Amino acid sequence: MWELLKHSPRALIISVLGHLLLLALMIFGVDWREKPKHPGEQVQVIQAHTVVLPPPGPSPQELALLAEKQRQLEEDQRRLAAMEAERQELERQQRRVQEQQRIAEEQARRAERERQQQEQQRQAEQQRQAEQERQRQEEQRQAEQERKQQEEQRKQEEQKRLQEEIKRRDEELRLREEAELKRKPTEKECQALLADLGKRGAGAELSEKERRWQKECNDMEEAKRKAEEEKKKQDEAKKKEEEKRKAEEQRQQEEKKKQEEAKKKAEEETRKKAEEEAKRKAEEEKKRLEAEARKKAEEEAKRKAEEEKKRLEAEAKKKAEEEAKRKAAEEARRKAEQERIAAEEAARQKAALEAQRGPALEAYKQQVAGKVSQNWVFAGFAKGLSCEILIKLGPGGMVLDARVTKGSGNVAFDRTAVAAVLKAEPLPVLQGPFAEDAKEIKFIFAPDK
Amino acid sequence: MRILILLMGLLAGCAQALAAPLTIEIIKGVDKGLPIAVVPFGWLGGGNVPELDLAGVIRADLERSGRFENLPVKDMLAFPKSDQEVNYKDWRTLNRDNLVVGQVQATGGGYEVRFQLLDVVRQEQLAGYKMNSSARDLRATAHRIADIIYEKLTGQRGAFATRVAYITSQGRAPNKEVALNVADADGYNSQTVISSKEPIMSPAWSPDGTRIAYVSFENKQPAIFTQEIYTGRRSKIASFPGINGAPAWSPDGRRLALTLSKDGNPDIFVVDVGGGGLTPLTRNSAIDTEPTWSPDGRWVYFTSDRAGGPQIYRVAASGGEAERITYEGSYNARPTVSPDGELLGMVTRVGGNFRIGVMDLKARSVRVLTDGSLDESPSFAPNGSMIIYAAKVNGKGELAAVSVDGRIRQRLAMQVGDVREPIWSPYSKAQ
Repeated sequence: MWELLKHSPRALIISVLGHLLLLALMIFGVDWREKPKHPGEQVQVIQAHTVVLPPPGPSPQELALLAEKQRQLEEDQRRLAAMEAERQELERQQRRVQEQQRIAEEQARRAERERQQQEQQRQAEQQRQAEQERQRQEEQRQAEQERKQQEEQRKQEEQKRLQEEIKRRDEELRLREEAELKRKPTEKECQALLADLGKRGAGAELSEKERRWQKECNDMEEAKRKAEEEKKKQDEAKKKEEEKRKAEEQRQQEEKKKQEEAKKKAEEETRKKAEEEAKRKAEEEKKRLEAEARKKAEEEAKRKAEEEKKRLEAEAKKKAEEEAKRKAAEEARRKAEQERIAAEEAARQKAALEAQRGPALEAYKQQVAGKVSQNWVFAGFAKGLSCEILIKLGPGGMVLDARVTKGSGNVAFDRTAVAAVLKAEPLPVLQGPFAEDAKEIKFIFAPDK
Repeated sequence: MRILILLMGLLAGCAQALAAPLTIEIIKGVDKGLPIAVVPFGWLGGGNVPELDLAGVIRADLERSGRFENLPVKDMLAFPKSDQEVNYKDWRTLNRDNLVVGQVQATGGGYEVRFQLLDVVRQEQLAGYKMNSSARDLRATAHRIADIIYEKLTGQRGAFATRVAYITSQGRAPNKEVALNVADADGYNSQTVISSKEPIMSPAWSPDGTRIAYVSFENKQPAIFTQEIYTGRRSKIASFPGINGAPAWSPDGRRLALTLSKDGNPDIFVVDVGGGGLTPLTRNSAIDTEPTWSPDGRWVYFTSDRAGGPQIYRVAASGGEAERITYEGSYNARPTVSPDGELLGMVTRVGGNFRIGVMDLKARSVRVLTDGSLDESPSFAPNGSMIIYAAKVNGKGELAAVSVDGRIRQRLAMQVGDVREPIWSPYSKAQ
């Protein structure tokens, strides 16, 4: 995990910032859900009661209203206190958020530092590794050179050896010729002699040959040694030369490296400086922005508070006005309702009465028709005659006026009809609510066909 | 809202104001005559007390019409002679609608009759007349008063002052006496117009009520005569070989329709009252007889057995094809048309009985009015309210009258012997 984070510090920062943002949002109490709205609560404000003064001599109803208002007032106060607490809580939260921000910044700084350290380490490591690599390469190169030199040497030696061999062979041939004469001890013989001499120790008596050979051998040895020394000297010089070149090379390399280093360092420095500058600037910008934001937020909060206050005041005023209006409307509505109820009641009663009207009138008509029929002597008049008699009914069922409004064409027939009505006196009188309906009665005399 | 209610209220008020008053329909009455009281006329003196009870005659007339219900004299509480003396309460108590009061006073050689018809219910006079009469005319005066009352209270002209012609036969051959009589519509005051040992048949009033046409067998052969009833002067209209029968006056009184069989079988002919201009109206092999004119003179109704049994047909007075009128029953004969031209009176056989029926000529529906066994010869009163006819009672013919609605039937009294073929006079031109 750490490796992972180490390898992708940017992601880490983003994730950290992301979490911080979420945290901040949580702390600021941003809620995406639709908050239940209670417009009623919005308009319940304390000042309401101040506008509508209870009239002198309040009725129990109004007392109840006052109590209600008092209750509302307390409610409003409670709500205001709650609002204040909320505001404080909000500030606390703000402070906490600032603190957290600060901590987050600190952490960010620390993380940055760490990151730089790590970067430095990483760079050093890289440098080290590069150095090693370089050295290793150098060594390899030197070894190669050496190996080449050795090879060269070996080649030279081989040549020399070949020359010497040739020489030796020539010598040998000569020696052999000489040996034939004066055979010179061979190296082996020399060695064996020397070994033998060594074994015999110094001072021992040596044979001519041995001596000669010894001398011979010594000479040979001497020559050999001298050659070797010469060679060594040459080698030494060569080596010296080589070393000198190498040193020069190294120096040059180091010089170059140093320059590069210096350059790199300068670049690094510049970069670092630029970074730092940028960072500083960013920091400053951030601070400035934060300060601005804070200021803005504060101003916003202040403005909002101001606005809220204004709004509340306006609302209170509005509410008071509305309350007054509402009350007036309520009163009007109540009055209208009462009127409506009264009207409805009247209408209902009227309807109920109306429902009775038909049957009542029907019964009455039958009563009257019965009595009139009994008094109507229909004495064999031609069928198909009919007439209409309009009467005014007086108190006690007396017929005040009876006149033929539509004659049958037969005056006598009409007369029997009038007589029938008059003879039926007193006519039944319609009592009760429909009495008016029977103040006038139209009789249609129409004997069934 | 309030305006609406107000408006509605206003409308309702208007509607109430404009609404028709409570309407009550009366479709039934008491099925009886108009309750009336005819108080005996007061005698004011001045001469001989008249023998005739005018009020009694009036009462009988009204009663006979079937449309009045009299209060018996014994039930009367008072006998006012004029409206001055009337206590309406009394008559109201006696449940009278109308009251007739009158007085008779002898004048030089005659009588002055006053009467008033009073409306008891409204306590007002409906009619009041003063008439001069004589001892001989008091009955006619009473009928005239009855006519006035009748007309006032029914709206229809009265027919009490009309007369009736009818045939009577008395005794047996060879002493048999047949007479053509004329009497008041109530049967009183009968006078013989002509009498004979031989049958007299089919009397017919001239439209002006001054003459009667009839068939007489006085010469052993039937002949048709017309005779003025006051002068007795007569003239022979037709005496063709065979049947000369059933004369009927045209409404204009200038022609007579008759049945003649001079050409073999009985057919309807029209002849001028003067005796000329004989014209056949029908001509076929069946019996066509008993012609009668419609009041407008357009049609002649008659009886024919051309379809087998006797049925009533009609033919245009100017001639043409006959149209069958009756289909109901197997026997319909002796047609007579009501004065208003709407009803056709006839003899119709119901089971084994012959009865008087009327057909509504518009609806062509027949209604049987009588319930006798041998009712014959129906004749409408000139006001069309009644039909007089002859009914056999115990084998003897009697006069009877029935209201056209069949409600009232009444026998006319005072006839002697067997009475047949009554015929109601028209309104007299003299009246």
